[in-house]
Amino acid sequence: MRREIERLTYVEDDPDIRAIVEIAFTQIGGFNIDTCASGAEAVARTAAFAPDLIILDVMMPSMDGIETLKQLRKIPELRATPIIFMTAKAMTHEIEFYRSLGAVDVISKPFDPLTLPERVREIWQQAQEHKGQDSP
Amino acid sequence: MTVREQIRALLQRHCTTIKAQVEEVEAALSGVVTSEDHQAASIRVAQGLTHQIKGTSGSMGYRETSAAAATLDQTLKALLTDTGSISPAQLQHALDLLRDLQRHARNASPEASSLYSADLPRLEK
Repeated sequence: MRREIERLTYVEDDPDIRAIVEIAFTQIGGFNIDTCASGAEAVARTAAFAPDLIILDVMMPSMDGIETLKQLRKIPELRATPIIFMTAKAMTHEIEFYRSLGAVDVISKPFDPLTLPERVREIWQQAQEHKGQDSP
Repeated sequence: MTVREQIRALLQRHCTTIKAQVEEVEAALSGVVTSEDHQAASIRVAQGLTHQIKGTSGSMGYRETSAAAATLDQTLKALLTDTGSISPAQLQHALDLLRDLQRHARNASPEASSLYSADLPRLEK
């Protein structure tokens, strides 16, 4: 089993947030990242990129994060890929709702982009541990 | 370009974004002032924008701008859940909060962001 996260798909419509997160993930986190500006872009090319983890902004025009998750889950190669939601709507009941859809965790906006790679690493590790516990 | 230079260039761009977004909020709220018929629709637009500013500016290191946007966001949300028309006092309160947000937007500079001088090496792997 791979021990460290390497490849990450990040889907965010806001260009400034997308840019700062891309800097943080690549330059600070050392991840290989594919950034998508829309859910449609993510659905079209995420399977080919084969990420270890996908991060989806919830509020996006046209196809929001929830619909994007549903579409990504229809792609056989992405059925088990951990997904994190990123949202400014992170009340307890909203977080529970996102988890019920299959998200491994939720990151609230605003967030500190410089510590984001560490946070994502932790979430991914926890997801791997849960996966290991669930396996026979 | 170093990581710090990339961040500072992005902050420069984001200052322009903040100002433009706050102008959009002002335009939406001016619709509330001029037309009672479209109050809810105008407030919904303004609330969506302030919600976006809260998340974006905070993540770009502008905590005070984010806090000002969050306060206006909550106020506009409460107006949307209230039944009936908006009272002059409620509208004035929202406009006062907009002035505060505008002040933060005017003062936005790359140096004002917590990311401008953030300690980067401790995080580099």
